[in-house]
Amino acid sequence: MALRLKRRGINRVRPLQGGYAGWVAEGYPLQRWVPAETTSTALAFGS
Amino acid sequence: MNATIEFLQAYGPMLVFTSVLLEQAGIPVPCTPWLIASGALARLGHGTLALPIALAAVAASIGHLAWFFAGRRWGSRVLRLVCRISLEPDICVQRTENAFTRYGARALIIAPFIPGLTTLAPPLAGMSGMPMRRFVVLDLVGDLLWVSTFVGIGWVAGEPFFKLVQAAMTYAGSAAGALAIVLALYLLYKALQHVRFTTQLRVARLSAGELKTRLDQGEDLLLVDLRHRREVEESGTTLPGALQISPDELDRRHAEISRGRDVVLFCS
Repeated sequence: MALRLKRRGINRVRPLQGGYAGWVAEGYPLQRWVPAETTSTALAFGS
Repeated sequence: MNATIEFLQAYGPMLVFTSVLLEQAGIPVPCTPWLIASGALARLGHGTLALPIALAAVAASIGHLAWFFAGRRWGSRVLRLVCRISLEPDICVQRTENAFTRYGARALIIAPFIPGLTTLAPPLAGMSGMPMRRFVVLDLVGDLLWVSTFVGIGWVAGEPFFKLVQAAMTYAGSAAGALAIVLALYLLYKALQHVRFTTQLRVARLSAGELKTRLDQGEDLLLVDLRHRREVEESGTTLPGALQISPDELDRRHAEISRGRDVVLFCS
């Protein structure tokens, strides 16, 4: 995916190690996800 | 050649069942040589086509059903586990989800023919809440088509297949030697696939701790959530401020990603 973006001129790309699950496992804050059709901003959720 | 035929007559059905069960459960064990051998054996009049087809289809269905229930119970964590044990690159989750988006439930029928998809499709079907009866029917149709294809290839090949095996055994010194070579080549191929992917990427990954620190310091980072829409809906949450773009939307929506900012990608 990073390579696909680089081919489109988006060069400053870094993948997150462990992805979403890794972030959650560390207990870091999350936001409630709301579909873009409903609202463009996410609602604060977590710490 | 007679020794090979006698060996396959004695152990062929067991090898077909076991190898298909393991391979379809995600463990990198080659099963197609046994399917082809069963077909070739039937062509020579030493057995039927129906037995290996039935055994392999049942074995594949058992393996898939286990992953279906695992997907239903543990969701996307199961997909990542399957990716790891099958030595497939970590983009395989997205590839599978894209196939489901594109083909719907019919993806289960074509899944056995596509490397990586075959073991990922059942847990994804479980995750999506597909009724078990529908899953079993579609999965069995796919398994029967897949098994019949390879057994059929063996049947068409017939005696030349055994001559090839004989030549390999002569070269390797024994049946066990030939088997070890096949297995080693298969594992080498999978390992090379994995190395090629990680080498191609050549991007230092950002740890969760490092990202948290940078966000806390107020750095202007753009987080892009590349999980499939279905997965994001299931979790109901994402990282702070993340832009959600499914992999299949990337070509259409890449303009939303600023060229002037550091971009952090994450998937499941």
